[in-house]
Amino acid sequence: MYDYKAHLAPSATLADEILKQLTKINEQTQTKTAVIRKNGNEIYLNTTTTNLRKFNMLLNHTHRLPLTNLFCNDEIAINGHFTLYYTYSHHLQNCHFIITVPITPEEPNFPSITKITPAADKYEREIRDLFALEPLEHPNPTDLIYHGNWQNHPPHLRKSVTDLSQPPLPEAKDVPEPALITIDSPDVYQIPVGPIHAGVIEPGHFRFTVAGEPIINLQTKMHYTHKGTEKLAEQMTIQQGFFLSERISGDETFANSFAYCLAAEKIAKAEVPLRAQHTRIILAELERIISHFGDLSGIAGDTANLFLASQFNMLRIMGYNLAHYLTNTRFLRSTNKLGGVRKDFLKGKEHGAVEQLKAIRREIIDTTEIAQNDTMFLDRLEHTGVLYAHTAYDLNATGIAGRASGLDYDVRKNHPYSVYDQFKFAAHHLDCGDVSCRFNVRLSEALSSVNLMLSVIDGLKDGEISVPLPDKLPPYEYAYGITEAARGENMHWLMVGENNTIYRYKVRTPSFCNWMAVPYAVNTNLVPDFPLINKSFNLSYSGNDL
Amino acid sequence: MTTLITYTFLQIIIMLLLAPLPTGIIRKIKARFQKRRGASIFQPYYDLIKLLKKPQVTISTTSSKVLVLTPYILLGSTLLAACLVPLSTKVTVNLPGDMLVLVYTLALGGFFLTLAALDTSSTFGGMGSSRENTLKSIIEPALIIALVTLAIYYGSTDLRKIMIESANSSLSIDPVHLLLLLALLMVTITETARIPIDDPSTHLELTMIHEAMILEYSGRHLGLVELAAYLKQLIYITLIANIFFPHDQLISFGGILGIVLSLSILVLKVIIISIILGLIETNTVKLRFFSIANYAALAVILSLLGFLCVYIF
Amino acid sequence: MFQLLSSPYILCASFYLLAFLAAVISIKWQKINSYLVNILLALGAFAGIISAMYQLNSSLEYIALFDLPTSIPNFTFTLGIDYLSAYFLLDLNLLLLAVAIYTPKYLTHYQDKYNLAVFNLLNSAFIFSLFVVFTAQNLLSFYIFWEIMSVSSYFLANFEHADKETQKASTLYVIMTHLAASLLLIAFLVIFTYTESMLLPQDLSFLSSGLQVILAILLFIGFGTKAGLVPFHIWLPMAHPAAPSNVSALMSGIMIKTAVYGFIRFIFIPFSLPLWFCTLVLIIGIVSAVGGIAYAAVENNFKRLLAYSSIENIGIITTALGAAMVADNLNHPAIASLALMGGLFHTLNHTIVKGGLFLSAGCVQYAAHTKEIPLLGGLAKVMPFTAACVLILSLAVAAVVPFATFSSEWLTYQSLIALISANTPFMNLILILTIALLAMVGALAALTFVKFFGITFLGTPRSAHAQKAQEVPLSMRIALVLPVAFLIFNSVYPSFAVGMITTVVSSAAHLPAVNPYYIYNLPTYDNSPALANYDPTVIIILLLALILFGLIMSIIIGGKLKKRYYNTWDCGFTHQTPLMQYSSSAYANPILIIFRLLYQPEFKSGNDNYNPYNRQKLTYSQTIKKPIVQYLYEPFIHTHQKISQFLTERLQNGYIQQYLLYILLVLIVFIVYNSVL
Repeated sequence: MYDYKAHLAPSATLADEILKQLTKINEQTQTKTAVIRKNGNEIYLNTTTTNLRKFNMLLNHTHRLPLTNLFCNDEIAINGHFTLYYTYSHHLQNCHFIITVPITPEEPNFPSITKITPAADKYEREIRDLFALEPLEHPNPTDLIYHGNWQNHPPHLRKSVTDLSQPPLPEAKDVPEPALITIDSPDVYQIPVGPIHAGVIEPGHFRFTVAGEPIINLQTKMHYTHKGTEKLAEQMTIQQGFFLSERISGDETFANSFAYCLAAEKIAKAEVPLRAQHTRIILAELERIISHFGDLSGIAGDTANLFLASQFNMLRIMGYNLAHYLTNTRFLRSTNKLGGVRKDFLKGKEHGAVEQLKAIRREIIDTTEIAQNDTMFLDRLEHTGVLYAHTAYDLNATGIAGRASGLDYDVRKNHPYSVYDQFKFAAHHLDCGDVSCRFNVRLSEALSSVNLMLSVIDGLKDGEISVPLPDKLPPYEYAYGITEAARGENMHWLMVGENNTIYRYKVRTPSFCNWMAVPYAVNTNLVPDFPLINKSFNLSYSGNDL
Repeated sequence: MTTLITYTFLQIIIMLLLAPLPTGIIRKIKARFQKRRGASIFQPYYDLIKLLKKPQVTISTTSSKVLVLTPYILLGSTLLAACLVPLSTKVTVNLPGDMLVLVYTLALGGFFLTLAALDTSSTFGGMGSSRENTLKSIIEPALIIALVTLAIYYGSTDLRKIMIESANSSLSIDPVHLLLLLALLMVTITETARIPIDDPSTHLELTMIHEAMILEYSGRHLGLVELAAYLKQLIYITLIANIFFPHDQLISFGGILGIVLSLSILVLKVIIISIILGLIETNTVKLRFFSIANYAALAVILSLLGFLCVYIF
Repeated sequence: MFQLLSSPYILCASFYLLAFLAAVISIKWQKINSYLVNILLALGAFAGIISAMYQLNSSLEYIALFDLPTSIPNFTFTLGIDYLSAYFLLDLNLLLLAVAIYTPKYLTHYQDKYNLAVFNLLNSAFIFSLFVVFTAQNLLSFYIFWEIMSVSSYFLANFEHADKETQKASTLYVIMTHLAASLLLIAFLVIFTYTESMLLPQDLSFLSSGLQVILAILLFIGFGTKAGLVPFHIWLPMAHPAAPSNVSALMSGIMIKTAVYGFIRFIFIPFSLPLWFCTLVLIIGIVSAVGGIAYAAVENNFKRLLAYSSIENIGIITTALGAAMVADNLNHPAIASLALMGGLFHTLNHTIVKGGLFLSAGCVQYAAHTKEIPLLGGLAKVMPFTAACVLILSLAVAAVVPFATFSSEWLTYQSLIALISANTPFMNLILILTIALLAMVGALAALTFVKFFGITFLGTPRSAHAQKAQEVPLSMRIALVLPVAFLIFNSVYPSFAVGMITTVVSSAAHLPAVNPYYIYNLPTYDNSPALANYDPTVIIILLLALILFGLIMSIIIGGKLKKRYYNTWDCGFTHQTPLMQYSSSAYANPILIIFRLLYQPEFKSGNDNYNPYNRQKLTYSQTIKKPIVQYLYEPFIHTHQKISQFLTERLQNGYIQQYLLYILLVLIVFIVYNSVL
């Protein structure tokens, strides 16, 4: 066992030093480097496609900065080319390196970095689907978003494509077979599960390659609920975009709207009042514990531990009840607002909230003790679904999955937003990477979130609850809004267009990255353990599909 | 001859009427432990009647006649096994079949059920079929050792004779009975697909064992297959109830009244054992699939120890 | 009177001889040869069945058939049929009837590649030698026709001689069977020196105990190899799949039963053996049963699966025989009778069932041209008749309730349970473990045959082979119905067969006649009268009545049934392929993992790509070890090769100088020896 932190942690080189090295690479091809520092921790610099792989090697391999986001922006109206934005985050120095690469429409391709940086796999295929820019030397350049029943689809995220109608569906026999991995051996067969599942969950197709009970390979096929969120956003005003952000994924409402608001407020350079920040933190943490309780109940239910399942379900209902008590809505929709929160939710309700939180805390502590002492239950969880630290690092698996595998990364601590840096709370991480570690990390996180909420309510001071944003935000300004959703690192990038509309809205929920890690956690486990492992990740299908 | 037919018919009716009750009780106990009210204990009856009344069944296009025949053969063989179980010493249904016939009759039903699961060419059916047959192979030795030990202890392999002998001897709490009771309880849990072996109320197809085999059944066929499963559970519960805790010596009068009283006490015992099964189900967790081999080994060791104890005590 | 009554047997034997002659005469015309020889064989089988059934139900203890003295002293060609021989002749002829009707159409499969007339010649020789093996009264004639049987079956197994695998398999078979036969010859010669006669030994208990044990061991190994008992079984799973299906049916159905005949005739009846030997027979029996079914469960070639299942059933028969020997040794003649009846009834049932299964395997091979289960599927739709027959036969092999195989297994169980009654604890422990293992064997057999029938016949075709299959010709189907009919008769009305077996047991083995289905007065734990009761006829009638009851009840409650046909549930994913069904090795994969101490499986899944995140080129392979071959035979063969190599290189290397040296050394030794003495 090696020390994960030493092997995987980013290098200690300062950001300026790294910038110097990057500029030197650019100088070798006589490219002018323009460094733009924005919004406190975002560093934008440009390069060309020829230097892209060298930049990637330097940032990703030499300095061990993970690739956290990669997207394309159709900037033909602004400067005549597409721009790829590669985001490498330095978790120890709270900065993000965003490398912009121009792609001309005449040469619609770019060098793929997937063979060196596995995290880039799905991003590049997404760009290929939505912008028709080909990643050169990608090991698996197949359709990601559009399933075979929409042949010859236009690249919808290009601004030139305005016809969003769907062609009539072809006959089932005309739809080509999906390109899924098979093994040519008489012992091996495939188990297809989904997209319609027996329980009421979101659609997704899982293809297991098995030769009995142990799983040899798992492939997931997602994007059944692709709603065209990003294209929809481009027709909306900033205010309408806010409503859209709340509706990306049902149980991440507040985290997504929080990220959107952060991005918009950074562009507007608005100072959100302190009471609003505190309220936002309380509601965000409330959503976090509700999500965690749901996951814990699911894990217990999948092992048929009916008592614990109902216990965690009860805790979840207590969380919903608290949300309803504070905001009159269980899922925290329409609570956030650009510039603050919509109402003063905590006025006069501090005492009631504290009582409920203390009750929740008592139940958590009691249930934790029962769960830790149930050996049959622990036997199911331990050594099941191990996600190794280097795999989690390579695929940028954040959130619970990353922390349970030993990667000590929490956005609230490493890139603090809102007023998180004013509060003391622990970011829990464990080393084993199996289901029991994810279970324990969730339990500890729920407890520390409850404690955080109590301390925030304790320190609440009177004040305004929102600040109005200017009527028109400066066009073509952009910013990142990064929050820690219940599932992990949530990155929203917003570019404002003319007349206060959205020019580009890139959403990358944590599920997008974490889904890549699930097949690697599942290898060599038994087929009946798969639902348990899947529940221990508990990722959002809609947040992945957009 | 006519008494034989009448008594057999009565036994079938009683077993059919009693069969869904243990399931209802177990579900109620599970609900209570989850702070729910739970459905009525007669809900399985209503569900069965609803299923049997449905006028249409959906049959898979890839299946052969085996799929359609299986529910009837399964129910028939389980009913036959139900006839061989002793209900009361006051009523002697002298069918020429003993404990081995009982076990292998249930094997006939199991053969067809696992075969029909492969008939639909569905992956989940094959999965359930493979797992069910594997579990049967590793739990049968425990069952047979326990039954044979009882045969040796009471001097006959005929279950009615065992019940009569057990009722005639005083109720003793000796190691033989305790060990065999534990072993038979473990076997019952496996054969009736309860937690910790299989979760009967799960919706996750990848984890199912018994439910996966009956995924393609609908309407009347599903009703018959479920009824056969309930009957199998009742058979094992009645075996445990009547061999380890025979009650007929408490009833000193014979005739119709004696029979009715005997059967009511049987119903009471079935309810108590169902409650115990429900408690076991709530307090344990589904085992990892290959840990069930350890569970089966434990059952075999318990019954083997029970056998060895016969020669020490 | 003897002449008149023995004439059906003469008919039977003469039909066999006529078949042989016909095969020789019409060796040029292959098609006529097939039909002629097989019609004669069928007629002979029919005559044989009638005469055997007549003898077993009458009081004719012994029918002398043939007595031909030769000029060699002590070698007479004497054929005579007592009850035991008659029972085995019945066994042979029941199977032969089906095989003879099956063969002509089946052989058209081989028409252009091999000479069918040679096949029929060998086949008739094989049948005639089997006849003589069962009826020979002279040890030497028994031995000679035993060898003829082995040699003709070798050529029959090697019929597809162009295939390397077949050559290897049949070579292994002939070597092992000859080595075993040599042990038989040694035993026979020793018996001759002590009894001064070449007639079948009736009572050898006057010999010293050590000598009896040695003779019994020799005979046991000799017959055990032919039977396929562990650890002498390794030829069986190779030879049976290599042979054509009708030969496999005969080999599995009746040739391995000659060993059972040998056990009873040469070991059980004459000797009185110590307890440890009888227990050893019991243990070898149950170990063979477990080993056989364990490997059948994980096998993908359906003929090899059936061959391993034969090992399992021979194991069960040997267990019953072992129990009989133990009971006899411990002075419980009633239990010995019960066990022997169980063993003999299982012999008959297994012949019918396994013969039928191999014939149906031939039908599948004829239709789909492959022997691999993973390539089949959906055959029930194209071959419904064959599928129905195979279903009934598979149910029978798994020994479920209404079938005759369960009746014989029930008898075995009862004899073992009765034996546990008043024995030493150690013996009881062995007996209870035998019973437990029998239960596990039964459940594993159910798994194996659900896999066999389910994956081959049900579902959808998994390859082009299975898609193009068609129903087999009528004569093959008729031949398949015969074993099913015999099986159903034995299941519904076993008293007929059991009555015959009772006669065999009481006369030939000199054990008391016991009513097997209503057992009273067997010794029990506390010596109270026992009661064990099983009447298959009543149970079958009740089962059918209850199935009807279920049907009527569902019609009464639900009314007329409306059927709607639709695709299997595919979770909404429309591209279902046949490869999404369970594969046959996956079906037995949990067993492979649970019993990994025995199989020591290796699962190798690899990624041919250097990049672990690129899983485009995955590979998978799975190997199962066979411990007996690996740890017992291979070291032996290895040392044997080493010794042979040493001899060839050093001692017999062809150098004239070395041979001259040997001559010189021998001369010196003789000179010294002479001068010293």
